[in-house]
Amino acid sequence: MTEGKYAIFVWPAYAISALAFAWMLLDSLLSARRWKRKVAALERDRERGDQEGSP
Amino acid sequence: MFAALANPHRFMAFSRWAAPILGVAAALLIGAGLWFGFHAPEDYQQGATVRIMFIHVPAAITAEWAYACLGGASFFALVFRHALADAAARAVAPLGAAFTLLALVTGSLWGRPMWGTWWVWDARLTSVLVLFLLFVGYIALRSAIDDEARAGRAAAILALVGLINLPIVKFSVDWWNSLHQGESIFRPGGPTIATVFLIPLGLMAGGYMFAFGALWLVRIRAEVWRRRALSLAVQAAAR
Repeated sequence: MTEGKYAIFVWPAYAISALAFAWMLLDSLLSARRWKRKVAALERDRERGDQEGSP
Repeated sequence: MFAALANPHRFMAFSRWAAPILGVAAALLIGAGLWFGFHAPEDYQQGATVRIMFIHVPAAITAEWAYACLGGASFFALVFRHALADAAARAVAPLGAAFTLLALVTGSLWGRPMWGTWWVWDARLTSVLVLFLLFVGYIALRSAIDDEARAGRAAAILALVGLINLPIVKFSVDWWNSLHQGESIFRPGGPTIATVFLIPLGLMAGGYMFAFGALWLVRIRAEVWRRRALSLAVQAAAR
């Protein structure tokens, strides 16, 4: 597991891959959550507006 | 199945459970691939750098697949004016760019000890760099045009033109003299890699593809919500 003289190449390759996966996962999930919440807020506003506008 | 999923409501219902299932499958496969990879013996020529292959090759395969998905989604968006296909194309580009960059960087980290250089203007390496630039160009073009419909059409044309690069990436090692080794997995007569290396490579490749699938579904969902939010904001402003 120490990778000997090649450790300086092997471990950075795995570290960069782990970072890239972490970025892809976080960016995707946070973006989905942000827009889902935005849609929910806008739909709430619309319903409120409809109720205020109705006689 | 594609016709059924072309409906955004059906797609959202499907992706809600499909994305986590693909994500769990990806985690299991990558976990197993890492275990087998770090318990595999060192290669008699490459030494411990063979372990870079277990992340480099899957990243390269996934990058090519991501571009094929971008091309397919762009085709449906351009020809059939399908909004969900356009959302899928927009969602896949950053993932494709990330996997291509991973293939380039991990390949470079393998090339330095094995070839004695970080980079050569070799046909395979150059065509993969072009693949990365196509993904980045697609993202930049979509961002550069304010009108989303026009941006989507222009970017779709770029993506379709860029499809010509896929066979170049695949066959570059056969068509030109290349420092990069020839095809050793998907070739007539079967793989030339020892089973002890093929197992972690296959597990990692499966894991990367499942991870890509899960992330793509999540990003399409985000894109559908983004468009819905923009539509609601316009409706609210008009009232």
